[in-house]
Amino acid sequence: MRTETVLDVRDVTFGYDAAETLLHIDELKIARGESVFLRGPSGSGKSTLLGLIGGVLPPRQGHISICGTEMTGLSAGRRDQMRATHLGIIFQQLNLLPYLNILQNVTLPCRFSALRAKRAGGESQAIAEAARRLIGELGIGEDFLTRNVGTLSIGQQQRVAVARALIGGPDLIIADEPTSALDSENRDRFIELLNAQRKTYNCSLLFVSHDLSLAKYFDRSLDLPQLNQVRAS
Amino acid sequence: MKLPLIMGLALRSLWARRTTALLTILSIATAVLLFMAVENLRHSARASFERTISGTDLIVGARSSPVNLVLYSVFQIGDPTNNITWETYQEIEARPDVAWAIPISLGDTHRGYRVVGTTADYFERYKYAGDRDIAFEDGQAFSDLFDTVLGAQVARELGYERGTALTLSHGLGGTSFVNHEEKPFRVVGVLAPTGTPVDRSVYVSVAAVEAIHMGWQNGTPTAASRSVSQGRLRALDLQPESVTALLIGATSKIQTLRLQRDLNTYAQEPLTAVIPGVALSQLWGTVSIVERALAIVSGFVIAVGLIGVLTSILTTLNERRREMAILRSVGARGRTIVGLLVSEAALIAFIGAALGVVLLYALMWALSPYLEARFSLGSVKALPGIKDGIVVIALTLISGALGLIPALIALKRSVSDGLSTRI
Repeated sequence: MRTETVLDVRDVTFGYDAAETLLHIDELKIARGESVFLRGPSGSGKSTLLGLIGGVLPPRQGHISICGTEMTGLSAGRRDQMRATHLGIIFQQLNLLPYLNILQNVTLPCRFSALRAKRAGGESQAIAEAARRLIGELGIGEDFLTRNVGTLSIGQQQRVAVARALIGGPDLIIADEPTSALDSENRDRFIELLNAQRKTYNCSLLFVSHDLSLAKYFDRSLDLPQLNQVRAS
Repeated sequence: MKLPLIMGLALRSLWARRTTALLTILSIATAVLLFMAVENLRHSARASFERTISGTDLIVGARSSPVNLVLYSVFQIGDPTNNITWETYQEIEARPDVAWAIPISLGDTHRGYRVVGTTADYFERYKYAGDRDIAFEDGQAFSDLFDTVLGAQVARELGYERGTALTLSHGLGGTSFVNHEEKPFRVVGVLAPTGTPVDRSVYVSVAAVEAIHMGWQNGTPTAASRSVSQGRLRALDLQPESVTALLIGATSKIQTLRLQRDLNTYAQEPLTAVIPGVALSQLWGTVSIVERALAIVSGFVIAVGLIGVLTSILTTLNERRREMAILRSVGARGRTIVGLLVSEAALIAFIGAALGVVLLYALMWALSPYLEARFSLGSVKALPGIKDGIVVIALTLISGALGLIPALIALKRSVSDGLSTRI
């Protein structure tokens, strides 16, 4: 059976100016449904790599394709659209917009991507229902939906961020140090929950962390300093 | 661009920062209130100024500049250069192209208010603010030689009413050492407020002016003049030798220019005849530097308000980098980030400007009776008009355009920040 590649990074280099190359990735592939742990300590080029995969930063050379669509030739607007449609992103902490309630935060990606809105149910009521279901599956009560973000604990906010990343079935979830603000018990529960949900929705996962002990939770583990040819050399 | 989405986000974002947003909105509202109040008062003052006198086709006085003639005959400012003889007045009044001519005789005051010697026709012919007649709040025009009619402000400030006795002082200055104490006048009428110099005038008949100066020599009273009783003066046929100015109504408006030319080239004595509207415009031109200064100052107030909007957004940009990164992560395009910040700037200006207009009209509505009565500023509108809408829209657009500055900074930062949530 042929495995579908969700993310394909080949021979990508990047630098903020022509004189300096910060990142050079020969190859980084993630298959559909695969979970990949990427160890990336501070200063290893982790943010730059995420910016490149997300289409916010254009590579100097090389190819980045998401679900078979080459990102590097696209306009900035089309890259934004690709990100909205195919990626779900979870940050380290404070993932949510403080002026939106929980439901509005979770459904936000569907406001920027018609495809994700369609996958989530199309109509606003169906999208809200999908959000309720996701939040429920992540262990947050329905009575939280219209609450202010500030009333949630950090752990609850991270779970809401997972729901937001999963709504509308993106192809790849990028989690950038999502457990760094959690204690070890909540961290383990969070990763198990994230893995369970991504399997349910058949999403791939790129989990970035400096904590190598988390590698055991994922199908494959990579080391960014080794992956980055600039650092490796 | 998803405008409803962006506007919704902008509104919620502003609501989340409502204290600072409200302060910025209030600063814009205050700026707009001040700007539009000054504009409104400027236009009202100008309109009121130009409507100080109407219905009069020509003002005639001794040869002087048109502005000086209007100043002393209408605004009661400054001194007349000379008088017009009574014969000239009679000749002008008898002309077929003159429908009416009302003499005005100046030279006395009462406690700083100028005394205008005229005829009872003055109260019929003098119009102001378009076609408004002088009305009596109490009493009527003078009939006896020593009757007097007071302008509204004179009566109010001095606490006079019908039946009050008063004496006049000689001279047009604020202080006089020569009083007509032996010939008191009795108030028979008080005029309704007009918001014009009429309110600050004391009216007597031209015959009364002649009577109180009967027997004077070289501008000072003599023993003989003091001994003439009021009863004796009433029995005399008092015809003045001269008057200060004339208000003239032409039989035909078309003839006014010709009549003006004839009077300006009058052979018997040098006269100046001015069309009040033209002279008032010239006069306004000389005082309009204040008007322009006000307009400039109010314009700067608006500029300060707009800079306030810009500052309030710029100061929050750094702490909002995370917000921008989150929006980018869920697929917000660069133009959405720009649109969000531009919308916030435009919304603050729109709400502030609209609030300013509402406050202005509320204030105008509350103050209009006072402004109307006190300053004759009668052009205060009841409801906001197109001009107000244009001001609100213009400010919204300018503020939106200024919002491009923080918007482009935020866009640049959101690209450099990528998908990392930095504070």
